[in-house]
Amino acid sequence: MNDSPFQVLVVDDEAAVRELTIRALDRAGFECSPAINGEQALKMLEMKDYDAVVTDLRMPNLHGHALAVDLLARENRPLIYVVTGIVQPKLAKDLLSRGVDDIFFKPVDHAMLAVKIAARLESQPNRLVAAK
Amino acid sequence: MPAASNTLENSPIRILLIEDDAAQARLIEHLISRSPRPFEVEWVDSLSLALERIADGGLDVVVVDLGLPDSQGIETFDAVRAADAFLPAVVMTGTDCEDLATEAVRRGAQDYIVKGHHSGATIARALRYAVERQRLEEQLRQSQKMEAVGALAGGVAHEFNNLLQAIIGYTRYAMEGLPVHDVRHRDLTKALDAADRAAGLTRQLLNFSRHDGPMKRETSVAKLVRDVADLVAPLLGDLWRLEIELPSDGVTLNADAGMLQQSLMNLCINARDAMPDGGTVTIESREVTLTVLGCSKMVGVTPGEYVVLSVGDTGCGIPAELQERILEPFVTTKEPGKGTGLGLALVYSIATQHGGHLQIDSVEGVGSTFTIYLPKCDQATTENENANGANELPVDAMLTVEASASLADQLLLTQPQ
Repeated sequence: MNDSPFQVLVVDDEAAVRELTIRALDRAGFECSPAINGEQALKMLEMKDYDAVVTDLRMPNLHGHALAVDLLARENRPLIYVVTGIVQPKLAKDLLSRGVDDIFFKPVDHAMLAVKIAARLESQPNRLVAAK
Repeated sequence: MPAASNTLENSPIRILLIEDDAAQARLIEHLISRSPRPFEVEWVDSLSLALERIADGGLDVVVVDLGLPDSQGIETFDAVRAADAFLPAVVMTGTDCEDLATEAVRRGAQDYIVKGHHSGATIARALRYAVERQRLEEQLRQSQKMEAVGALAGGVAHEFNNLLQAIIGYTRYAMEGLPVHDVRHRDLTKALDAADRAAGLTRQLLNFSRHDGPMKRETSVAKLVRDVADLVAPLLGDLWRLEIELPSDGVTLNADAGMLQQSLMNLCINARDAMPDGGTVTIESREVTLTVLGCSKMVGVTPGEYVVLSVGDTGCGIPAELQERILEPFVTTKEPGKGTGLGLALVYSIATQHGGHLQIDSVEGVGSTFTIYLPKCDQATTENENANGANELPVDAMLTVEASASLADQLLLTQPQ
């Protein structure tokens, strides 16, 4: 256990939505980094570990679904939260059955999103992100 | 006309016969007079009279001789076509002018008859099929339009959700720290309410355009209807009565129960709204067998075992001109803010996504019944049967090769997934 803030990577191609999500999560005590698409997110994940990834689905340069599938295959993976504007039950079911931690449909109540992520992370005995 | 069934099976087919040769006209009339389904023949001997008569409406099909005193050749057909593009036309020609007749078919004629070469039964069949084919083509256009609107709506809705997310999120931040009595707080609350409504509308649009299809599982029809009745009952005040008629508990469908529930709810709410002074809403479900004839009026529907779910009202009925457009998205008779015009469009879309059909029966002053036909077989069988059925149905109905091939191709393209 360490007391450094939880690290969250926020992936969305829409600047306003990205900024809103980060603002809400910052306020809940997370430390957030932005990525504008899946490709950039993967690069950032190579540089550093994150406790959670919050990703949009429909984005240019690597769809959120592909990003989620890539992360799910990793041994010590961050929590994965999908935030989407497309309501597709089959896609949602597919992602959840693959192991994605939760799905939110836009417009999202960011305060609720922050509460859920915090609750999950705080209940995890071992943090992925090493103490600095 | 999308699915309106105001053409009764045994009502006469009204024909306008455009022919300058009186003997020929009498011969045609005589030949088809013994057809089991009656024809009502009106005869005019010139193009100008024909155009006047077509403008008055009420016709099911025209039979036109291309050589008239006031018009010759393909121009005759073009003029008739221009007068009413949705009125099926059958061209009449001599043995030496079959090229001309084929040209007319290329330009939209449903069929052609070569003078002196057909029996009464053949001509009667050509006329009946011309009427039916025209109806199927119109249904096809309708479903293509729905598909296009759906794709458009889906694309826009995704962008819209991003914008709404920004509007709602930033408005919430702007409200923070403002006292509740502050007029700015009240204004922003109204902005939030409006954004929430827009979000609801976007959700409906996305439902409508959902392209991942239904999530089918075995569903008890009786339970489905009972669940809907439980949900609808509280929405009906003292003025309305709810009657339900159920099949036995063993009747099941391979279907998306949530989608069907949504469909029946939409239909029940429409039924209530069609009877502002009260009346009876009837939800009925039963098993039916559709024959080739029974399903020939529905695009993408093949003969077989079906479960029908219908919702009836004792309201004012739907005027014929509205029936033609009522399934289109955004067509509503409700006051602004009360209806989006997406409810019926969604029901239609759900029915076709299940390989079924939505039929509207409405009599002004008596009431309306909306019937959803759902195939009983599982999805895999449905697809196969549809593929075969689409070939069988129109080919059987065709006399000309060009028309049959193109319509069959189009029907295959619109098979439900």
